[in-house]
Amino acid sequence: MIEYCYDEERIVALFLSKILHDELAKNIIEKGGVSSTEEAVHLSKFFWRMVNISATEDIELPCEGSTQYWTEKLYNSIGAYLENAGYEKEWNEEIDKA
Amino acid sequence: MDKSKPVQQFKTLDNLRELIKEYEGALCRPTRDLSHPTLYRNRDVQKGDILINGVRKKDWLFSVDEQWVLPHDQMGLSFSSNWQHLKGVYKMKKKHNPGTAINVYWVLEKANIPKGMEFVPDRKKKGIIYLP
Repeated sequence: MIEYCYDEERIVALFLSKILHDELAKNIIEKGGVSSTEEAVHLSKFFWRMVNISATEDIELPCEGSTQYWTEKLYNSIGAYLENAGYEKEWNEEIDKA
Repeated sequence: MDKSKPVQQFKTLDNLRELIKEYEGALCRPTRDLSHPTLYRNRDVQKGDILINGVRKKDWLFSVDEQWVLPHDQMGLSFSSNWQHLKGVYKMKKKHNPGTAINVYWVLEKANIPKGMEFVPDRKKKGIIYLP
């Protein structure tokens, strides 16, 4: 399960999955983790899609804090989860591509 | 350029990458050009973030009246302590500051931090160190 430091991280990830029309990312966040390598890659790519939209659009969140702030926190929470779940390679490859 | 400062030229990115790997374990913070490595100004954050005396409110555990920082060993100023973590943080900073240089500040040996404070690794994620 993805362990968030703050409840808002999950709220923001779900909120951005809807803005990005990413149904699979929404499902992964809702169920709390990935079930396959494909989902691990998708979650890693979704993270960088969140960063990209955060950097280019002014998004009003349903909680205190900015998208820049919360994507920084999600970088650590999603990264820690994928590393510990055996998907460090997939996570790192998307960092390299970003 | 200040000629008193040592200057080393790297021919390729690989040269630089090899050098940086020698410092694996050093503490790093990518910082927008002309910004402070440990303190934030309004230009360093997006709308919605709250600053208290130059720090981001939610990075620390503040008392209800926001006059005190309460002890918490997994909150505070964060640093990257490995190359891969640094790379991601650097890229995020770069995306949020297009056209602006991002400088990386390093703590290579020891830091002059107040007595009683220490750097603490994140318990879940490799490559993150907090200064609570």
